[in-house]
Amino acid sequence: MNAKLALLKRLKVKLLAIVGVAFLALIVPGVWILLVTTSLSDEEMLATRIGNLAARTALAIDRHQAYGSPFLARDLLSPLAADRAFLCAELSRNGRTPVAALPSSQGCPTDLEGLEINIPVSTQQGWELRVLFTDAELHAQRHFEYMLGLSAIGVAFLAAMIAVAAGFTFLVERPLSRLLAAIRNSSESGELQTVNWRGRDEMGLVVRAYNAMVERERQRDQALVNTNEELRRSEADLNNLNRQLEDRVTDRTRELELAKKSAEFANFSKTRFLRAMSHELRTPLNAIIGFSDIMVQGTLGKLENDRYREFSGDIRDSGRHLLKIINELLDIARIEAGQDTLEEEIISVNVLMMECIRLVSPLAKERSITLHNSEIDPELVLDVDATKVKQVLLNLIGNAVKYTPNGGSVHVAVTLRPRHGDPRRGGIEFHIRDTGKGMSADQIPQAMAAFERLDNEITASQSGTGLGLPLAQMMIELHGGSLTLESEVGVGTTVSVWLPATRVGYMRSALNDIPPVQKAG
Amino acid sequence: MTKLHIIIFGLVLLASSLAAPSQASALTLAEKASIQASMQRHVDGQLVDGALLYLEQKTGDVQRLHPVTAHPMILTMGDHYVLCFDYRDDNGKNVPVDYYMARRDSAYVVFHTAVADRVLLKRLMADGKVARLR
Repeated sequence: MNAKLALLKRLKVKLLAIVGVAFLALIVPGVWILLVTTSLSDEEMLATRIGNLAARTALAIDRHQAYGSPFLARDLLSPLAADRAFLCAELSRNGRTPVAALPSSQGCPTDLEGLEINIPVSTQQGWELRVLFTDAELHAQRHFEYMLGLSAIGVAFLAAMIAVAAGFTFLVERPLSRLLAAIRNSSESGELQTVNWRGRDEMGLVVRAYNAMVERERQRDQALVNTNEELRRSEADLNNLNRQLEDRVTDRTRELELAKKSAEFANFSKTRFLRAMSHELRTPLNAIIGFSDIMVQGTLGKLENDRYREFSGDIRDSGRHLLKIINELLDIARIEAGQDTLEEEIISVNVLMMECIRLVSPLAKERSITLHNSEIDPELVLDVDATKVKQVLLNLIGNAVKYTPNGGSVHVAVTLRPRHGDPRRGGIEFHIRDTGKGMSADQIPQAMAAFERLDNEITASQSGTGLGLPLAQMMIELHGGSLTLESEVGVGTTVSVWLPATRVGYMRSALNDIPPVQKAG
Repeated sequence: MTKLHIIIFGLVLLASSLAAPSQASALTLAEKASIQASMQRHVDGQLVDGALLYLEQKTGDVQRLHPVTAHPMILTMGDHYVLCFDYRDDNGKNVPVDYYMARRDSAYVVFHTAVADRVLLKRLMADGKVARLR
């Protein structure tokens, strides 16, 4: 059969062999010693019986002085014949011919084999009783006892083997077979099976331990199944959420794309509109400004009426203001459309600043505002679009003068910011600080937004488009720089312009021993 | 221990146990019968009116001990032998008598009689001087 039954058979055979050898080693010597002892006792009993019988016979012969009476002597010898071990007996004197014998016809023949004892009957007269007896009964008894002993050993051995085999079968083989069957079925079917066995011995403990293990494995499997089920559900939920999220992202992306396209279209439309309108507006506006200036100048003859001359000046100034607005709108539109390009050139910082100061000075002087500017290295140059940077600085300084009350001051400083190993940090900074009324923190974003003007008495008294600061920021950012505004109410405002180090250089030693100014972009 | 060792061990035990009964006794059956007969003849020779007279040393009384039965067991004490005989006094009390016997030619003679002195025999057996005859 299979390996399992072969294993059981081997176990049983081994057990039977061990028990058999142990049984024989213990029982055979014991039975053998018992037989030997019994045999010895039987021998002693026979010796005692024959010895006593012969001695009492000798005593009787001596007591009756039957030496000269063969019949009496023979009668006295006759009780010996009652013993089954008796063979023959002779009464003789000093080894002569017996006077009496038993059996009387032949006495003890010389060829008769037997055990012999000689008992003195009368020591004075030399009478002696010779008795022969056989130990055949001992042999028979010993043979019987040995056969009985062997039979007992055989029966006991067989019974022991049967008992051991039956005990092994009931106590070990049956539970072991069930256990192995359960293990085999579990292995084949993949489903753990318990064993039905309620023994309280070690095999019962083994089976109970196995059942407990199976139960634990079942619980663990069930827990795993539950966990897997939860994981599957969670995965399904997650997939649903992912799908929903993807749908929402897709929808949102679509909405954003639509919004972006809409915004781009709106921005494009706005830019196109502004450009078209600016162009359409500037042509007649130039005519208005030109003709009104001719009228103010009186090129073709002075106007007689002073009111007319004043109105002509107002027309010219309004036209110029409108032209500025249109130009700024056009610049913003171009920058937002990404159509504005920088026309870079090398320009001295000192020259740039002196020009700006010079242009703003009349207004500052008119309003008794002191202009302070720091000393600038004359060889310090910028690689920028000079027109745009000048427009920015002029706008910022002009704003500082415009929004500073009379008698105030405006400080213009130029500083170089060290790189500290990072080219994005180094560069040049322009600080325009005024002593105006300043702005609160929530007003600063409003000032930086296009078409926004602060609503206060200073701004109300000054003309402005609300486009200057945002436009300046855009132009500076076009150069890779930044424009920041710090202000405190009652103290003043500081506008800082930073241009990166890549746009800063020196015009030293007739342009021979310095590296050329690095071009931006 | 291998299976072969177990089998060999069992066979050795079996052989040793089988060899034990073949040992020869110190006395043949005829000699045992002779020594029993000699004791019986000695006992018969000592009887006075069918009883063994015994002087009890402590009390000075002479007791009459009637022979009842001879013990089949023969004990050996070196070259000598010890046999026992049960007596019974007038009161019906059993009195053991041990006969210490020696071989003389082909016969046996009693050289010491121990009446009601089983202590002596037990002491000799305890000392290993007396043992059962095989």
